[in-house]
Amino acid sequence: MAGRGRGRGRGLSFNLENLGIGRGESIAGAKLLPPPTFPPLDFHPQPLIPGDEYVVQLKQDFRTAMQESAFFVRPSAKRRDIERYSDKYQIGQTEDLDWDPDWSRLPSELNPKRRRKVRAVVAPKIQMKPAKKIDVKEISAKIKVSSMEASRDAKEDEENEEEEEEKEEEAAPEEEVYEEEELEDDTDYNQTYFDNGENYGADEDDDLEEGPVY
Amino acid sequence: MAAQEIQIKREPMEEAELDNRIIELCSEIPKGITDAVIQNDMPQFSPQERVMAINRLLSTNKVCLLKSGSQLIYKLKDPDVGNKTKGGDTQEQIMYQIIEDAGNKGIWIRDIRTKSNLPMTAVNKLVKSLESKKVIKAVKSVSASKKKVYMLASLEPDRSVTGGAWYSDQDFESEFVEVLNQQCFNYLEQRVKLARESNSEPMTQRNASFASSSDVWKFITELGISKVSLAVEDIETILDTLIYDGKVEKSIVAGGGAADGESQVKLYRAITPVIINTGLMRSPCGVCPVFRECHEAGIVSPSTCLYMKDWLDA
Amino acid sequence: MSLEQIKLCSFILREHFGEVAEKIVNYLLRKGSTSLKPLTTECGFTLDKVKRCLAALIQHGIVTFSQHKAGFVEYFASVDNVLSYLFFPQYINCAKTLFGDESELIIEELLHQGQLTMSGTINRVTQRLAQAESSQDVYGVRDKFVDLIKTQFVKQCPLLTPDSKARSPAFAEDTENPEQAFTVPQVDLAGLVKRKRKISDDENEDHARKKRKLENSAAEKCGDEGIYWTINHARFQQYLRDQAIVTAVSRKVDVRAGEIIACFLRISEMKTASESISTNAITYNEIFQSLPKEMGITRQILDQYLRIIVEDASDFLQKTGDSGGGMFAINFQRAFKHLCQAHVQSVIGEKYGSKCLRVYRLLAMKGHLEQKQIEEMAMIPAKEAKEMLYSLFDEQLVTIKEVPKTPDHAPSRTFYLFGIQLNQVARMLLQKTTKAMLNVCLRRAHETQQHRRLLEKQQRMEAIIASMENLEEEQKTEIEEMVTPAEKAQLSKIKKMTHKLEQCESQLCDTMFVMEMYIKYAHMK
Repeated sequence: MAGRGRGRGRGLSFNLENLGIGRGESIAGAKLLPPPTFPPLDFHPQPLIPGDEYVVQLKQDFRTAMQESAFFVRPSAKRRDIERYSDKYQIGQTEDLDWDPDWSRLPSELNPKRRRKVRAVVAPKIQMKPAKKIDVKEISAKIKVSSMEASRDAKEDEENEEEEEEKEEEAAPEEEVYEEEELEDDTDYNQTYFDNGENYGADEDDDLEEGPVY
Repeated sequence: MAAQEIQIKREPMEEAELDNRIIELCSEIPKGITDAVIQNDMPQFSPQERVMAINRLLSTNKVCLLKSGSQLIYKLKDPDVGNKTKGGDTQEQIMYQIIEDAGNKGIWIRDIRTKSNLPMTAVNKLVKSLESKKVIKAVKSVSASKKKVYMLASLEPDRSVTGGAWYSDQDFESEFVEVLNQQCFNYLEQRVKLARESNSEPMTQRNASFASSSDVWKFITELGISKVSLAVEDIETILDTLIYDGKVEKSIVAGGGAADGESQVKLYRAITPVIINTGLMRSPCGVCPVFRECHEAGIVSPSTCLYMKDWLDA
Repeated sequence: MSLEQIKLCSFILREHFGEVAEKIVNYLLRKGSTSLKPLTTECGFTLDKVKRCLAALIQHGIVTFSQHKAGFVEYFASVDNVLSYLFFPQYINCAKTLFGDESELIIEELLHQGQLTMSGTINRVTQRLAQAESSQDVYGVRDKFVDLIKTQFVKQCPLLTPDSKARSPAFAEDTENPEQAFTVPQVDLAGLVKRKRKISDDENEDHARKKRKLENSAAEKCGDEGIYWTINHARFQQYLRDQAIVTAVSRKVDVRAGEIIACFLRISEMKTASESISTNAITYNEIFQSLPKEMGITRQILDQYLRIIVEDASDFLQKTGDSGGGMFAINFQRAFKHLCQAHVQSVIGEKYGSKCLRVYRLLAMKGHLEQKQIEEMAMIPAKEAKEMLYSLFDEQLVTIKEVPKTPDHAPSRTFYLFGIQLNQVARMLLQKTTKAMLNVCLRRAHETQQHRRLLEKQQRMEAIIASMENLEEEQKTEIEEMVTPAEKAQLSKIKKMTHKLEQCESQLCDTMFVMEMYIKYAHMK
């Protein structure tokens, strides 16, 4: 009880005018509610200026082109079990291995071909590869057939994929120097992206095998 | 002795003559007269007689006594004043005089107190009383919003007190200023349009788009939107705000020859800004009040943004 | 390098190069530089992916590398080079406006591929033109390419140094031989022409095979192997800079004045070092002689226009001397100061209202002012002025300077002067615009993600239709009906939204560009 009398008297202990609040101006009352997450706007955005439709079109085209190019690298495996169907669709159009950079302008450690060569000597594990090479040919033949069937059945387009397969097959004899490596690349490629389910296990194997290497 | 007799004889008449003459002198010189002026004018009267005459006039409220520097000055009193302060006491009269002297600039109550040497309570009471008799009025000064100044009720307050055309009471007439700002701009914009349509050479076109401040003043006066009469300077103040708005440009040129008394003419013209607006302000983020709080995965986030939604749906 | 910039970078990379690239560059930016190994362990992708991705990013100039003293190769990433992706659509459009469709395709290909040989580019472009049934031949495309080199929109990538090692190739410095970058190489296009004919003869050959073969032949026969070309970012920026000034003058004075300035900038281009603060002085006579005759501008009219532009408050053109009928120069520092002010003022006017803008401009014009002076000059009531100044201060658009009358700094005996620091304001707005850009991008990604299934369905449907040759109208309709009317309405809504968001992104670029230019020139002496 006694305590109440002490301390400041009425009002505030400092001069309000020092805060820039003039005499007679009311101090904002206590806030009883939190402010709305999106308070009403005092001003609205200005209208966009028309006339750059072509630039927007270029923007969209450019993005699509990049996404469909060899430079667009998708993380492998992980998501495939969840969204298999659509993934197959998306990836079918991308990662076209057409891109063969000028390795003389890149650090040699980035060249997958070189790595394989070195590894083949150093790591004995890799020696399993030739066995797989045969596998691949069988598989890609299988895929070719099955995808053709699929296109007939579901009236879906698998042409792109066919094309690419053919291309890969062609590619091998053309670049004889790297034949072995090329085919190994194809191994990864086919197993990763031409997954009709038949070679599912093989893919897993691949991962398991490569896992400890890195 | 004879002279003395004459003097005595003449006395009543002379007294009246002296009084009238003093009043005459006072009305001739409204600024007020000193004792020396009376003495020069009527050397025949002794200082004593002059004092008596002044006292008579003071007591009948015909003249008043003021102090100017070290001199005393006599001034004619407003004939009404006698009535106005009738019933009031001398203190009230002193008060009246102090306020009257302040003219249309008015005087602050604290200054009345120092001048009158009366206690504050008395000053307050007297001022209240004069105010209730409608002899004086209180005017709020715009220069200090809490300061009231007092002046005679009949006077029109000075601009420095009222703030000029832009104030009513002491409130700044913001809307009035904005209306004038808009009208001045409309006028200048019209000028530019006409100049453009003339299809003349670029320089002629540009020069035709300029209008002098008196052109604008004329236009505004003819519009009749202002209740108070505005001076050219007032319009120039408004035109200045348009410059700050970025809508108008000013150019000062030397006066147009001998006929023009002014050595400088202020020319104004409406301008187009270099951009329509900036890209940022065409996005919802530009006007967003919670922009700072906006983070991906926060309560306010680009994906949950309602402004963005409204904007996209529009 | 602000947080917003890095986030925006991530987004751009995710959209153009995928998740792997995003993670890799983020890691590189965080670490400054690193070797290959930590990138695989830290980012959680297979070594193959990381290598492939690094190679792609290097080819696109986003990642650079050098050999560390210890022998390993270290990699670096550049934020600016990623952010420049925002401007690519404008670069492509610029090439189209200046040199036509073939040049548009050349620039587009160079941007897609990061770098290409001249023959490689010509080959790709000719193919695309053939698809579009354009009559332009290999030599026509070559001429366009040469034009782009001569106007410096395209430049040569640094060549490998003779002592370059395979482990970490080294490149000749740009500065060693500046002309080298714009030297047209000898290219033998005979092979390309033959190839092209052969293909048009042999329609049955499928497209992919064609392409493959063509590329091989191009690489074999054209004699420009190892000489790579890329777009000259600085030159495109310069073009956008000049466009900004021309547009501004056209708005401020009139279209013809804009054309005069455009002409002025064209002449000055050749005479001015690209990184200087102002153009070299150009005489009235030179300007007159290079004006296109069809503009029909007489000497007298030109004189008037130049006077008007020089006298204009916008500060775009200065008269620097009297010889040759008058010497003129454009000072980019001053021009962009004015443009930057205009953009800042737009922000204030559009967000805080015209009276706040008045206060801001008043400060910009008069320097430092007290609140009381501001009220009087701007004719704004004290209370309103106080609130406005507070919100401007809160948004860092104005600054306060304290000038104490007494040494005790007592508030009652201190002048508080408000002022503007344009440099700070520009940086803040650039920051803000970057965040806005990111937000709009994220929203677009969000909308696409939300309707992913539907969009995929549409894609599938379109793919099916495209794959079926000789499809009868009836069947086509049947397939199209896989997408219900409700879904169609939804799809068109998504399309509209995406377009609006992208348009907004493109327009946000303008604000970013002006702020960047202002900041760049403000620092030059």
